[in-house]
Amino acid sequence: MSASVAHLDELDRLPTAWGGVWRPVRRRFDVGAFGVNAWTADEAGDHVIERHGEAEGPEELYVVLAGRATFTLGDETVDAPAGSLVFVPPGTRREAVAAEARTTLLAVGATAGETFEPSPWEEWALADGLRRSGRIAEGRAHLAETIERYPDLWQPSYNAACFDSIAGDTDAALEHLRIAVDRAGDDARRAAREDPDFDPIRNDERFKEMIA
Amino acid sequence: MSEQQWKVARLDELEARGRTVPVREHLGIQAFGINAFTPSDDGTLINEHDEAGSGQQELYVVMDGTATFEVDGETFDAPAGSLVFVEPGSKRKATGEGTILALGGTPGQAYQGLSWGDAWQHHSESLEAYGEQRYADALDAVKRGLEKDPDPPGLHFNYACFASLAGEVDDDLFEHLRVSVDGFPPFRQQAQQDSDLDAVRDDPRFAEAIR
Repeated sequence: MSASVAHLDELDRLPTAWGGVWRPVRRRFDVGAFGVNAWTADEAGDHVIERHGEAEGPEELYVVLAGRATFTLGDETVDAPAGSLVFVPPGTRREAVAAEARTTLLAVGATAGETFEPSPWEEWALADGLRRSGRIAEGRAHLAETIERYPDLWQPSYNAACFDSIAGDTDAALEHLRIAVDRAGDDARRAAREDPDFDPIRNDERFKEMIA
Repeated sequence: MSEQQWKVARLDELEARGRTVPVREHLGIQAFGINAFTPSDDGTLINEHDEAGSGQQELYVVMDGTATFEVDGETFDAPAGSLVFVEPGSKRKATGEGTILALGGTPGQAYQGLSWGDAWQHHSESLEAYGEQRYADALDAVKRGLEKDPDPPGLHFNYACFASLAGEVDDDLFEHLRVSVDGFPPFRQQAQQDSDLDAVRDDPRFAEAIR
């Protein structure tokens, strides 16, 4: 059949650090023309869209498919029951919190006037989500591929350091984090300072020095 | 910094044009295509068509109700919450009840939206006739649309397509094709690929019109 079909309930569930569950749609169908993902918050009060800015770049449309979400857009709060469309141009800070259990949104995004390219963000988000759902070997394998595919980006090495830290492999964690810090500088240091994934190695002097 | 403002709307409260809810135009979206469809009297949700000409991938989201899709001759049910992804070359249609959200864009191309101006009603009518292979009726609807609003490049392009399919091959056809390409350059490539224009592609006036 030349159509690909999936019900929302059948989409993968990949947990995130900030509480929402990523349900990959673009990857599932290999959509090449725009970004599209579903996000679920299982409990009321959980974030369903992480607070972020999209300072430049994509326009985003959020479609509330199930439940109810409370959006914060800039300084304003908006109640968005199922059937709501929330369109956010670049430059607006936004976040959404589930007002009901099992709230699911579809997020569609692309940049006006530009050819769409899938974001490499998906790759380390996938590795991270696999780890958080206990599929550690699979996550590690995916991260290794991602590091090879994007040798200039810092995030894959940073995420590899998270895997190592959680697994108790301090030396490997420091080695990966070193690569991330060399490439990204303060962005990586700042992230590592606040990231609970590094709690197991936080007291190591080498770690302290690296994030200072 | 963008001058656009965020916007919030309820799908069931947006003003429809016939059975089409022009979501993209309502919200001012420029980066991808999005419309919603409700059923016609005979239960058509998505008119039969393919996107081979535009190269557009489409993702259909069944918002409520239940749709029955037919894609390249295969039929399947898609209850609310279903996502149906269709590649450009596939012939597709959907019937049933409820609302379908249709997202679209062409890989490798920045999205460019078409607007149908005051002629949207005639445009909708023409697509319905086209989906039922009533090409002369489709052409008539486009002609009436152009009387109402002579500007939308999409109407001029569809004039050429429907005239080609209806066997009405004359100078007017090529003139409309020329105007469509002037107003919306992606039609140049689409004209070379769209099977609706197969009957006129070897005519010397065709190459002239899309120059």
